[in-house]
Amino acid sequence: MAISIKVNGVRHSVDVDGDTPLLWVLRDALGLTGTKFGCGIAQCGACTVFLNGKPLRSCAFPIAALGDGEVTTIEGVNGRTARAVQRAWTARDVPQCGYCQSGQVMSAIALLSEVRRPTDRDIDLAMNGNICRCAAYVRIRAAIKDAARTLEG
Amino acid sequence: MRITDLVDITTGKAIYGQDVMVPGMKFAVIARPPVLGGKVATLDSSAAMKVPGVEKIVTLSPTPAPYKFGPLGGVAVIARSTWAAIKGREALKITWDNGPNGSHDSKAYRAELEAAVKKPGKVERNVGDVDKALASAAKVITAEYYAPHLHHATMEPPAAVARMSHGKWEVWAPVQSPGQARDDIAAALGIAPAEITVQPPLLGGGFGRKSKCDFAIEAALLSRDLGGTPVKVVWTREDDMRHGFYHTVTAERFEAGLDASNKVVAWRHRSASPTILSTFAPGQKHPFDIELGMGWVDTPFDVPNIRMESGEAQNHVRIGWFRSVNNVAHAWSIQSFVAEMAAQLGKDPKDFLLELIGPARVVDPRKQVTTPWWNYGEPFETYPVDTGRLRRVTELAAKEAGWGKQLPKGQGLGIAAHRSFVTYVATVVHVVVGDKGRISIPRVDTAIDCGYCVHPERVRSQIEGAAVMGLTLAKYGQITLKNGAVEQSNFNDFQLVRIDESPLDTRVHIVDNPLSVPPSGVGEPGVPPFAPALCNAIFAATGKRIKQLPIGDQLA
Repeated sequence: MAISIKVNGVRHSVDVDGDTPLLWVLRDALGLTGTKFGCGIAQCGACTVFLNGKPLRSCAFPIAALGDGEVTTIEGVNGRTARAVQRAWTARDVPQCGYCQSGQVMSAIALLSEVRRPTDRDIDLAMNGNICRCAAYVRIRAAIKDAARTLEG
Repeated sequence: MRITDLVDITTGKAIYGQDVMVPGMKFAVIARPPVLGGKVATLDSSAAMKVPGVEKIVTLSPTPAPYKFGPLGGVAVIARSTWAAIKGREALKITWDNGPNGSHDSKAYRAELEAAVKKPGKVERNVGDVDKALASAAKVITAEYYAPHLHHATMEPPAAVARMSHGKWEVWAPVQSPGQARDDIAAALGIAPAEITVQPPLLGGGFGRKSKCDFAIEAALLSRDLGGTPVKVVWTREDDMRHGFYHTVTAERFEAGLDASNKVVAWRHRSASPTILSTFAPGQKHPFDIELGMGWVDTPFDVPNIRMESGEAQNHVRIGWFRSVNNVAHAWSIQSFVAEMAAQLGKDPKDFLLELIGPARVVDPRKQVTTPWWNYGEPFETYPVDTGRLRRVTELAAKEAGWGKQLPKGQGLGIAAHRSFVTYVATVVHVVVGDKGRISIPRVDTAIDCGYCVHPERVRSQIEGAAVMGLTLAKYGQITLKNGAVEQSNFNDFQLVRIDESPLDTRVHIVDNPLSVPPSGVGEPGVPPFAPALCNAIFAATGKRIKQLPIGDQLA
């Protein structure tokens, strides 16, 4: 069936079943492969996108539930916070394999949009839904703090 | 030196194996036999064919043993989207003929391995006369350890795209060895390797899993079935967890004989563990040179009577290699036993470890082993077993960690040192064991001597990551089988350490070497010492000695 969705500010009509997870609509129908498939059961965070600005695990979210919601993916994030996070990520050499990093960056942007100066505890709570098998956690934590300092300055 | 794909990775533009898109591409998801060596008994695909988007059902033949990197067979659902293929697979009605591995059970198998190490095995290294030395020892300390199968669980589950046009094949697959993959795909298709191009996109993690190209062969076979139409095979996380090439399971038994002055005079170490070789050749039940050389027969202790013996172990899953391979269980059991002995003898674990390593010297196991000794493919003269370097990293990690400092109740420091991939690493873990056995790690100090250090920042990041991979395998890591099938399915029951459990402060101390000291491995050597350092720290904190992995709820 034809479903209308708005992604990164652009409206699309996609012909998929209503139970299709948002993740597979983004990847297979729209070709937005920056949002990654990791587990399919909202356990790893690789598929994190924003729904109306809030983080969402797109792998376990049926497209029919989207309604008028606006989706932002890693390809569509912009603004001061996103730039600060992405710059901190590159300056700290955060990624190893990098596969989970779209989701990590999305969760970090969401955290810094809510909490301007996150504590270690804030970082733990905001980021523990995002698994990194290479375990770049030391650098993820440091980069979030760097980005927070940039945003204060 | 910047990472080439750094900006693309942080902006979502980087293309991994799962991301490859080719015009006209179909999507395939495969129901594989749940038990190794199993095959389809009956199939009813009528409901699957009714799922919107499903176009075709293809039955694939299983590769007979030895399995090598061959596909497992099963039933492929080919569809217009990944989701349609997943739903189509759910609608398949399949009964399986499980074959001879259908009764395999991890609990019963553990008992077999533990029985194997209680009796004499195949001698792998012999120095002096260990039987005589144990018989005449003033005291003998014995211990057994058990470590289960592990799985790579790369963040990117396997995936591959294949197509053929005008007789030329193209395969896109996140493989660690594209050349090997090309040869294996060619063999499966019955064509010459020159007819195939294998393009590896970025790999979303490898750790050894993606040097096995079964998923790429699947894509090629399905594309051939469709006359060369591009096909992407997507493995779900459940597929990845249940159809891996697992890190081996092992039982390790130690007997150490001491003289009247508590000096170790005899060291017998038996190990029973299914071999990687069983994946490649029939009837293999003992380790081969690479497994023996990974931190076992090269144990560099200053003991006059040493013997290593391997017990028989029949494989029931595909055994593969996982980051640092057999070093994981060798380092964990050896370094745990050293600390266990120190505790029984009332000695400081770091001092006792250094006493066992002995004075700075070159240890040469080549004339003491029964299979020619494997030194990570390196010449012995360039990369000897140098106990001076092992001592130095041990002392450096201890000093930087403040070894010997007083800690509150429920906290402890543990140390472990290990040579692997011709690199020397020692780790000190500071653990806090809280309510209900909850583990937290305020600090890790790791010293690494990897010869001349080419890229210090990447060395640090590898060691930081290795600490967490070590923590994951120690805390949670296990693949278990029941009725021949893997019991775990996804990250809910095969847990990985998350940011809130990972060490808060990971310090990496790189030994400064001149260019004249040749560079050595850094990707794998950080893993082996972590689990024993943690378990030794847990002992220091609680008095509880971990004898089997994972730690799980043993501290609760």
